[in-house]
Order: sequence, then C-alpha cells, then structure tokens
Amino acid sequence: MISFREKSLWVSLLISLVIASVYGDNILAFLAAGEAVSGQDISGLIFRVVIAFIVLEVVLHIALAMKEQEGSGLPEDERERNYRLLANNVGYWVLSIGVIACISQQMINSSFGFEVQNEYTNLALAPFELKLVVIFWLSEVARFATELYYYRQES
Amino acid sequence: MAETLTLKNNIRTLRFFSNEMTQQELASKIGVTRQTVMAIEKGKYSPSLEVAFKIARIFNKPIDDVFQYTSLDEK
Repeated sequence: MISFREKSLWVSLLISLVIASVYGDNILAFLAAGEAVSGQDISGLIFRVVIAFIVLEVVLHIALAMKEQEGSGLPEDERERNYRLLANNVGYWVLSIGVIACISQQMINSSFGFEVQNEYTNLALAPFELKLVVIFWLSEVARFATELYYYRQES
Repeated sequence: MAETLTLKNNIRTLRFFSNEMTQQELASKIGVTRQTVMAIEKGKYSPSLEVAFKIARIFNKPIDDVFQYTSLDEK
C-alpha cells in the first residue's frame, strides 16, 4: 500500500508536469505566432503559472489529506527523511548546474554579441528569468522523481 | 575479492511469536510508519542503529537475534 507521503509526491509530480506542459505550450504558441513577444507577456504567463501551481498544490493536498486521514497526520520518520534528503541533493545539483549553465550562456551571449532581447522570437536568446523558471521546474521534477524512485525501489 | 555482505532480519518470525503482532503495531511502538517496517522486514531499507535497537527491545532480544550482517551465500 502506498503511503500518504508517496501519494503526495505523485500529486506534486503530476501537477509539475501539467503546469510545465501549459507553460511550454504557451511559450511555443508565442514562438509559433512569429511575432515578437514582450517581457510583460512572459511575466504575466509566469505569474499565472505560479498561481495555478500553488492553487492546485493546496487544493489537491487538502483533498488527499481528507481522503487519507490516518496517514496525513503522521510525522516524517527516518526513512522518509533519508529519501527526502537524498532527493533534495539531486534537485540541488540540477538547480546548481542549470543556473551555472544559464549564467555561462548569458556571458557567452554578451561576449560574442548575441544580444539578449526584451522582445524575442528565439528561445535561445530568451531572458534570464524565463530560463530560470525552466531550470527551477527541472530541479523540482528531479527531486520528486528521485524521491519516488527510492520509494518504488522497495516494492 | 571482497565478500558481499547483506543485512538480514527475523522480524517477521519475531512478530509471529509475539502474538502475531501486526506491522502497524510494531511501527507505532518504534515511532515509524508501517511502510518503513515493511521495507525493513523485506530487507529493502537498512534502519538506523536507534531503530534497530528499538525493534530488538520490543521483542526482548539482543540485536544479533534480530539482525544479521551475513554473506549473501549464507542462509
């Protein structure tokens, strides 16, 4: 039987994937339109996506806690803590490498004259914050997936 | 070549001889979740020393009677 924490992780992973698909879909739609996209459009999109993520997390976790009343109140035990820490480590590495890669790309862009645009049609020249959202999302997915991997290894 | 060792345990047997203690009962007594007891019992998770001693204490056994660190070939 799957524990409350594992179910909670599945919920978070699924929400992350759904939100990422909505985000990616909108970015691709911007690019496919072939028109220049302003930073304001992107900021608005990021804001809406973050709000949707928070709302979905809260609502689905409340629903899960109501369904799993026994498991939801239990404190984290040593096995769960171990898995969480191992997964956090993986997420941390993904985030660190991603941010370093992002900064390096930014430096290369400015050194070789590839201007980072406020209005753009090319994702490679997208603003720093747009890439950071993707990197943050990747690190979160890596974290959830690693923790789930450890839980699934036991079954 | 280094000998391959693995952690085995007799928790299932000890539970049986303790009036068929359930995994949930054992979990509550040692302060972990039932899933953790299940993982320890199946040898999928190696508990901390603290939890290992708690389990041994519940069954009134020395820790060696509960957990054995043995070669994979040994039964």
